[in-house]
Amino acid sequence: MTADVVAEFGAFLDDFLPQDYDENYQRYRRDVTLRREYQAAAFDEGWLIPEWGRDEGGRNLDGPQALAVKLLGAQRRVPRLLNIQGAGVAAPAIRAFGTPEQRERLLRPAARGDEWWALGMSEPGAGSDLASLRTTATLVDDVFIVNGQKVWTTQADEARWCTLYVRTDPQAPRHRGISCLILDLSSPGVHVRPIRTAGPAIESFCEVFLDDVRVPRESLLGPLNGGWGVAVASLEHERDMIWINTWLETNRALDPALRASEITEAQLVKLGRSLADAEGLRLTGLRTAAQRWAGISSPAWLTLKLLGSESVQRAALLSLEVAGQQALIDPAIFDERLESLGATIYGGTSEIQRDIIAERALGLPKGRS
Amino acid sequence: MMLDWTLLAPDEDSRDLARTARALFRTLPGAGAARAALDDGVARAALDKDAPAGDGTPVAPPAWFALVDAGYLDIAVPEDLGGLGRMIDLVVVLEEAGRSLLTAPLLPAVLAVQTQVAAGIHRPEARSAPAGFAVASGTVADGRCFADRVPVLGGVGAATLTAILRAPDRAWVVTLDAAADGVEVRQTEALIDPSRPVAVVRLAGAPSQDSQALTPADVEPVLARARVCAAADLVGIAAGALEAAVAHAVQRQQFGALIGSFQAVKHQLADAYLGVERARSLTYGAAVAVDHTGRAGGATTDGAPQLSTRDSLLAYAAAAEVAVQVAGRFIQVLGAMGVTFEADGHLYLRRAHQMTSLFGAPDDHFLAAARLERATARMKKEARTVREATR
Ligand SMILES: Cc1cc2nc3c(=O)[nH]c(=O)nc-3n(C[C@H](O)[C@H](O)[C@H](O)COP(=O)(O)OP(=O)(O)OC[C@H]3O[C@@H](n4cnc5c(N)ncnc54)[C@H](O)[C@@H]3O)c2cc1C
Repeated sequence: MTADVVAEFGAFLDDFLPQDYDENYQRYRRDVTLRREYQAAAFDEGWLIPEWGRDEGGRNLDGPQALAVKLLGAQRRVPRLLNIQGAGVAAPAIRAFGTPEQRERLLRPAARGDEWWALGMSEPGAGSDLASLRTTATLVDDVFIVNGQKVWTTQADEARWCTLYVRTDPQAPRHRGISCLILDLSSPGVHVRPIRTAGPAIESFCEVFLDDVRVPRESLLGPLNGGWGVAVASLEHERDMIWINTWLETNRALDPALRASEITEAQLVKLGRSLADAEGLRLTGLRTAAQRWAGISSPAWLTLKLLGSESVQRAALLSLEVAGQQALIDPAIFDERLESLGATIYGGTSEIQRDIIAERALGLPKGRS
Repeated sequence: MMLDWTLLAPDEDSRDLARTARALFRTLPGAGAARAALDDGVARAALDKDAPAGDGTPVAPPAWFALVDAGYLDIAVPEDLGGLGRMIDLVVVLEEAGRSLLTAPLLPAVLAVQTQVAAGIHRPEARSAPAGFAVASGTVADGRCFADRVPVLGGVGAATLTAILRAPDRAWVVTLDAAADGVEVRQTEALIDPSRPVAVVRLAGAPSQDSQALTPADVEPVLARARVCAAADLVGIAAGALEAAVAHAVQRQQFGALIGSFQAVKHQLADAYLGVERARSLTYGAAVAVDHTGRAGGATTDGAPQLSTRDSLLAYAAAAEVAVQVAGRFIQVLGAMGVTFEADGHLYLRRAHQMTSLFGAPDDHFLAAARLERATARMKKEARTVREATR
């Protein structure tokens, strides 16, 4: 049964991807048109988020089948989504927390890539400590009046919508006074300023200034003052699926070391270690998923973000080393190395991941010094 | 090849097996015996026990029979040879043995049996008495074995020895009667871990009971099963050391706080946890791959032997590396107590280094896995070129 589904998806890919896709993957990787068309086509056929119901644009697959489909996608290195946080983070949040009207209006275009999303969490004063965020929203006559500033907001300059985390109850304890609003980024009072990144491989991110922005009450996502729950669920969803991406990216970064005609023994050792990273990541992802489906607790799942991001980094570093002097005159190699350094920062830094592992998997006490 | 990953989450039967094993191993000699062995030399004790029998028949320790009765030697042996169960079942048992610092000679016997199975020379009766295991330089000619120094894990008190003997251009898997003429014991003292003793023997024309000649290329696939077992033991050692380190971190206070609340300690332990889980995943994955390959590493069309060989190399390398790291970290978390005889830190460290010294350094295995993967990548590329040329 799973094999049939996977074969069907494989046939879809054979049909959709250009004949020379594998050979010229490096070029297709940057092909914006192909990436956009892939997302739409995969969604239309129900392959993009196959665990969703048929009426939502999925195939109603169970967990194991859906994971098998996604793994094959990663193995075949399907085109990267242009606005990954739309289908990957915003859409699941809307599906889980949205009203029927919100789901009807927003879910499909988010998943299909027709409308892009930004995630408005970080602020100048609130990075790792997200709960200290200070952007406020005051409810006046069924309209939230929003004031404050977000930062590092990926693709806010190109997105239509933003899941905006705001303080709606300044009196409540930090975690309990936050709400999530669905912000139309074209609203009056929203000013988006792109931040120049250190290299072209890093996705553009922005500052978002919010000046008396009016957001209708119907645009509240989840309960009033229940935004922390939305944020946690979103990040967990991200951690859940991000390992497949980092697995793909690790493998991709290992290509040069696998193919180089010349390679030193020291580099071979690193290659072996990176192969253990990639396999360890894939197998931990599969093992913990299988445990969850079997109703067994699987705290090892908490390691996936940390292992995945560090795996990508080690692989990208090796790739630059293997390139030798070629790296001097091929900036794309350095750019990928630079890009990989972001992986241990976004989605919760590695230090925060280690805290989470220590406290939740090992039961060590809270407290930091 | 599509992996059935439900196998990676040990099922109800496997988990039962692990629970039973853990309970049994708690009743058998472990850390205490390992410490005592450093003073008394279990090695000598085992040899002395041999003496009363007078006829050279080694006397197995009582714990050995508990392992035989539990059926642990039979796991992952083909059914037509009287075995049952899969490699993953054996892995979870060995992990528990490693964790509990079991001193009974389970691992050496399992390494011997699994190597015999891989080489196609296993006889069921070999599972009834303690067996030693070795990998060394040597030769076989006319059924007689020659090797100068063979460090045999579990060699003290073993009834049989199983060795992979390597010469520059070929290799053999041999089984020998430990009491045969030409098996000369040269050293059984001054060991890093006398609780799982190594005997250094010289093979001076000792007759093999069974032997299988291998090409050098066959050695790695034949070793895959043993290597997965070694990895399981090492994962258990690392997990045991980590558990003990965490237990200490939540009861020792300094600066008015539990040391486990200090981030420098927390992050070290979080990294240790990640390393253990990574190695455990690789070991389970390699166990599934080995089962998929079947008993011998013969060539098949789906590349399964290469895959299980590579996976076994990665699993062993990751497990060996993390066991050494975590044992060291446990000692660090204990503070001065960590370098005392009474603390268990050195016991885990001894086990970890015993294994890496026997099988080889992690880096060598990472390197071998990388070579294999590059060869596979080349083969795939050639196959694609041929396919395209004929289209
Ligand atoms: C490429 C990229 C894309 C991003 N996209 C988005 C986006 O779309 N939306 C969005 O909201 N945010 C986004 N972010 C922001 C990201 O979520 C934050 O960068 C992250 O949460 C860390 O916050 P910070 O940058 O303020 O660093 P800080 O929190 O100031 O941390 C600085 C350093 O201190 C360490 N540190 C902080 N607290 C602790 C602690 N308790 N213990 C130990 N060490 C600590 C951190 O690990 C880090 O190394 C993006 C970031 C990157 C790099």
